[in-house]
Amino acid sequence: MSLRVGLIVNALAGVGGPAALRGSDGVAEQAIALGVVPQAVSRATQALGALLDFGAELTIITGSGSLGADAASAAGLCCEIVYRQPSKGSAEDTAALARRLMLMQVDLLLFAGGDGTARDVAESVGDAFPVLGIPAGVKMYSGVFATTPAAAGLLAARYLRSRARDVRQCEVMDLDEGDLRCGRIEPSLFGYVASPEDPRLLQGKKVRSVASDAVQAQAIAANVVETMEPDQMYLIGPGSTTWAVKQALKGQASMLGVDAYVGGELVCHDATAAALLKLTAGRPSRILVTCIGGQGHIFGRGNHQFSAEMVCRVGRKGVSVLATPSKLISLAGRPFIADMGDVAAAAEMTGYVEVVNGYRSKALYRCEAF
Amino acid sequence: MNQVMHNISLSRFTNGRANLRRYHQARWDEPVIFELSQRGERGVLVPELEQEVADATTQAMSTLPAGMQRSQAPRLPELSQSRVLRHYLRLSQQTLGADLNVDVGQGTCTIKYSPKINEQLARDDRMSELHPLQDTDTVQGMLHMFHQVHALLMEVSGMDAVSLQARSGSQAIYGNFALLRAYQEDAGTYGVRDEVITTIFSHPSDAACARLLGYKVITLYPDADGYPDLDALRAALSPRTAALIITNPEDTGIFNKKIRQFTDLVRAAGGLNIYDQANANGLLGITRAREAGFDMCQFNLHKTFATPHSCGGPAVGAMCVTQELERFLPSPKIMLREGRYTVEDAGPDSIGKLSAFMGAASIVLRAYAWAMNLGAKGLREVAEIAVLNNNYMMHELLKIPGLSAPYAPGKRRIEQVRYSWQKLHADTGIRSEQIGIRAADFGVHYWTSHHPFVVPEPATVEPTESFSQADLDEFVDVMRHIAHEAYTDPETVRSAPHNCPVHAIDGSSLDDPKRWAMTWRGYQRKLLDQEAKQGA
Repeated sequence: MSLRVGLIVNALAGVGGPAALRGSDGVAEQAIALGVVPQAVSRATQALGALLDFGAELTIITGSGSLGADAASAAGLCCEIVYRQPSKGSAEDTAALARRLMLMQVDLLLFAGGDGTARDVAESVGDAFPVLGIPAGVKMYSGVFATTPAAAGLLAARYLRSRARDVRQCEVMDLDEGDLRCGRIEPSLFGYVASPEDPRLLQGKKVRSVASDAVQAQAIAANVVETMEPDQMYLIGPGSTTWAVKQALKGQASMLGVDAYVGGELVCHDATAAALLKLTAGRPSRILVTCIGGQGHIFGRGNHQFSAEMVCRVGRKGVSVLATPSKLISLAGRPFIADMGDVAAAAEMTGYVEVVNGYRSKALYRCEAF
Repeated sequence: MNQVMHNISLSRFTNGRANLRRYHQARWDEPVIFELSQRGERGVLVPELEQEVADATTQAMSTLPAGMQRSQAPRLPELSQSRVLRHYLRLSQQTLGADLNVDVGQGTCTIKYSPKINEQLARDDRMSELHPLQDTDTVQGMLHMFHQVHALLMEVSGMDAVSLQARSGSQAIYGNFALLRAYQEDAGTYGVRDEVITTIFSHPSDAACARLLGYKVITLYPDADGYPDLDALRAALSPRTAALIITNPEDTGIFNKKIRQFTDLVRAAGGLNIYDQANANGLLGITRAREAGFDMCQFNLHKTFATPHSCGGPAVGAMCVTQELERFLPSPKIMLREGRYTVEDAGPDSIGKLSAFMGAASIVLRAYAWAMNLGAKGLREVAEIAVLNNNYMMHELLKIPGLSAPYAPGKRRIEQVRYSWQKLHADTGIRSEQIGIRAADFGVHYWTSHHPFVVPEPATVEPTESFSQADLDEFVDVMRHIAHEAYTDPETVRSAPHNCPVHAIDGSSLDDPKRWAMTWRGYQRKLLDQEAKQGA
């Protein structure tokens, strides 16, 4: 048996997150200048670790350097390079590599990136072969992503070993990042890819909130505002459920950023990770976030401003998740996921988290972190 | 006309088994009764009064205070008796009533046969002509009956005291929370212990009643097997815990075997345990609230004890509590003193009254007649047959493509199952609600689930002990037929109903607080608000 696995790494994926830039298209240099370290290669390496057991049977078909060869070598896998990126890599490289892979015969295509990368892949390969995403971007609305890099690796290994090789059609969704920076959330469908089937590890497509959820969000907001402690600092993350709280408070809030409040007043608009650490130094603080419907992420998706250090500072008991009952139900029993990328923060977030899910109503919900 | 249409038995049976009905509901285009009114039309013409009688009655009227007398006659519709009779018979033909259809599809409501002889007893003059203010010496039999029903429910629940005051299941749940509050006020913990823990599959009234009495609610979600998450309970317990309220089995029909661990943990944390026993039909004579560690529970006599559901009442929710909580029970109490029954005020600790006089006595009578006819062994048999029927039906229903029973795969259920049409929906686009509407085309009632839908595309089926195998098979046949239609001819399902006088109703306003109105006044207020805005 000889297995061939395609690999595409968008090395700049996700760099816009910690700098509160909403995405990484066209702003990667700006983000790196702000001191953000790209994570995509190390995330891909983490996923590929699960394929080591296949030994020499498995070959990674990929591009040079950060396009895939770096991650494959770091994971100890042998690889065949079918595309050499020019000395200065660009966004076009992932698409070019995808087109090259289209001509090859692979058993599975792994890619590391966000929705933009998923789009490039879908446009190039369609449903020619099964595709699985390693989450490494800022936005991941598409159903093609596994919940974590390790889960992607595990699922890939399981799929390659299985006889049936079941796949399902997944939507590839993306937001226009320009729109997103202006505060609009309107994911569009960009195509379909076939993805390995594993209901537990593959993330469900992000469920859009329905009308009655807006009423529930008002109830949640009323509860949050009613129980606010006067001296505490509240760091409120992005999302439509948290937006209801921000609207009930004073000040010009950001729908897609983290805003800080004390005594019901806005003290910092659209804060960066560094700003949040500075603001909360020596001050009792609480983080209010929402979970991504259908997927369950509470950290590490669209709210990278909450750094591992910040989360450790408030602790698991200092985090409230604002989620309507239907959002919790959309998780179908799967836990919340805190994608911290930090051992200490992951240990802190593992366990039961408080969820505010209505007026004078809460739930305790399990969170898994890594 | 072909031969099949001539011989009805040919269309009714194939190989001795009933075919799907060629059902069609009546259509009468019946107006609202006020629209039928003709000025001066009367049902009964009362003879002119003789002078002496008239003199006597006008004096009687003058004894009423002026503020209580109508200045104008009420604007009631004016119709002859025969027109009233026709009106309501016609409307009744446009419903799917309890005595008309196999309503096992109304799951979690424990729809069972309400024996007609119990109706006759309740409508007997010796019952219906009693007055609640009669001297207790003249109603000893009635009080004896209440006393007996108390004893019966104490035996079924293992509790020490019972009140039959509440006139619905939700009111009894409310009553139990009022008891919790009274108990806490007595102990000085009300407001300190202010959190009530429940589960997402427990009945919505549980959380709603807790909130009405000032408690905050913590909801537990199920683990992968469908059981309430015990670790989540541990995380939720704190010095603020007032009580746990839980349904068991939940509407999934899965019995929570760890229930004693739940109640022990809550007790150790200083809280009370309240059991919502609306789903008791599969447990009669098998498990009891006392042994499961509960301090209070409620039974819905209109479910488990076979009294009619009656379109929303009257009903009885029986509150059952431990000795420790007895002094807080609603007023009045029925006491047996030296061989005589008395009706007494319940004392200063009581939560007061939940309904007028004794509650719904005629309902208590029906439940009493039902239970006494069965006896202790019979009650257990009720549970056993209900469970058998349910598992037979689950076995048959799960053969239908596209239908599943989420959680606890391969395990048997107690008295009901919350099924899921998730696969059928993914395959065909047909939703559970649409299957329900199509079911009405075959004269069968069908229900999805409480909101929010935890089980995707849910259907809740509860075949109690009252239904025969032929009844259950008929319901299964309807479901199989509709599922087949969904796969082969989805448009027929999507455009249902086809055999009912009223077409599918747009329910979107139910989800929109701007458009819903719970009362006539609320409706008028919203209407006036809108008009005022339009005017401005």
